[in-house]
Amino acid sequence: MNDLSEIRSGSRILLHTSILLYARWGVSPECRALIKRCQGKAVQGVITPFILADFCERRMRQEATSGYIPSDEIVENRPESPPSGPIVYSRVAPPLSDRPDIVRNLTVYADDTRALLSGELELTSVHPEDFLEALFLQKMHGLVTTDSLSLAIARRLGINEIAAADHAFNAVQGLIIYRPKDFVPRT
Amino acid sequence: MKQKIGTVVDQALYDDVKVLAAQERRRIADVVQVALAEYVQRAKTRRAERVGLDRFLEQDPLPLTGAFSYILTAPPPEKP
Repeated sequence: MNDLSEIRSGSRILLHTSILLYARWGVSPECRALIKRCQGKAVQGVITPFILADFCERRMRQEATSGYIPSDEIVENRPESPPSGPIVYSRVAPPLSDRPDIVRNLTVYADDTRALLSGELELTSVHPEDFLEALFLQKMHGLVTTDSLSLAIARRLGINEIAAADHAFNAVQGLIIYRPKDFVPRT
Repeated sequence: MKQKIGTVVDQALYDDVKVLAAQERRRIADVVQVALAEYVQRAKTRRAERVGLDRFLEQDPLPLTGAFSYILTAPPPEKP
């Protein structure tokens, strides 16, 4: 496993949702440094529509649970053992699809998502055959839907470097995975 | 709270607005309010797009509460 700082200049690399969240949360200077390198085009950061949607959904939920949803509607569901990865939610809020009144009032998640669409990152297209490849990758490596779709797209584009803060792609052969190692809990 | 405003607009435009609002059974005030809200939202959208990834280098306005703070109290364990 490689450190994020080892990504060579000129690389074209898939940025997993976890990297975007760590950077936005401000809990990993390495993730922020990578975003800065993408901004300066030293590294070509690539995201897929599925990564964008995943980020959008997670930030929407975070914003909704940070004040908009009454605390008595949120069920604490803490796992007994520590989570295996950083992007695990143990707080269950009512489905946001049932609360358009809340969604309409959220703004931060939307501006964050628009920032990803500013053109500084490469947003890929999706082809129907990506889904067939993703089904194969799910079976082969046990990947979840969004990760398998993003990997299928990356492979089609000839991208074999991925930056991720979790372990989702560990089992995939032939990938160069970069991970942040400077996790700083936010106070 | 509502604020009463007065303004001057093009006569032909106002005539069109009156006809359309009547067809849609909406009050002129509602039409103006929606138009102003859209104007503000579009302006904010343009600002966010202009800022781009700089936004990711700013402080996050959302708190890391509940599950988020629990998850972030320790680095993810390495899998064997």
